[in-house]
Amino acid sequence: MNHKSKFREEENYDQTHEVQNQTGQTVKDFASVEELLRHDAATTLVPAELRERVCESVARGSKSPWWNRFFKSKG
Amino acid sequence: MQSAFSLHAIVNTPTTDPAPPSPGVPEAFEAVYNEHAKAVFYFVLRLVGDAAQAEDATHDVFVKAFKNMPEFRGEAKVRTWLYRIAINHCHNLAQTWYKRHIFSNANEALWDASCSSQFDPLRKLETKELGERIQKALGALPEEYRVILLLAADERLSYEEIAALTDQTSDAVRGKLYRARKAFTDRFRETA
Repeated sequence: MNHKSKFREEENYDQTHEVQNQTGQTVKDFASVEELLRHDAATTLVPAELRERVCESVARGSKSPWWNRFFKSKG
Repeated sequence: MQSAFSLHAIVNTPTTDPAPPSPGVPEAFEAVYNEHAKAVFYFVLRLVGDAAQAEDATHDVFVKAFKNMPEFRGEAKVRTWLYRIAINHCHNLAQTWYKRHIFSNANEALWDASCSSQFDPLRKLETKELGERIQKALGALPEEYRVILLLAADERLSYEEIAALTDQTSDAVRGKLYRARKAFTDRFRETA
């Protein structure tokens, strides 16, 4: 079964609707577990410092080892 | 069909401005990070259940990906490849003595930061509470159910790709997903 049929199965259950409760808050019903998780994922931010950490590690890893640079400068 | 997931809706999707390029980091890799970090972080977060560990693990996943990028031949999609690294990394993490013996408290500050800062305090609290309920429900499931639910939630993955990532057939994925959904629903209801 191809990629699209995965969503066709979910669409059959896609009866998500929103209602206003008595206090005026919007209550949303999720029609599937995946939809609930996607909503959760959408509201979860990646920590800002993670990007910096990854970039630092990658930039450090991009440099050749110190002994490589030392022998290259000698030779 | 009555749904089990009645809760407050979060209307706004958090957005962030694109970060400036980082010196010493290849542009191609930076593009990979920008496109896939959110999905990978969320997957790892819900798999390991600890925000601080999830940050460390996501960092390790992308550093591993960077180191192995020359060997990536494009036979699978980048997202699938990153998930493969993440699954293996988290599985190894779960096997370590540290993970099995050292109790780690969730980092409250990290959890707060994980919720969009654009939401008002009430919605932040709702988002946080929902996240905790989801985490509790997922945490009560076997690892294979957690993995399969989290992969299935990613709209970019097909059943075939999930099957390849979990080393089983597409039919097995469907069957397991059905059982995982039911198990999660039962656990989620208990968290209310």
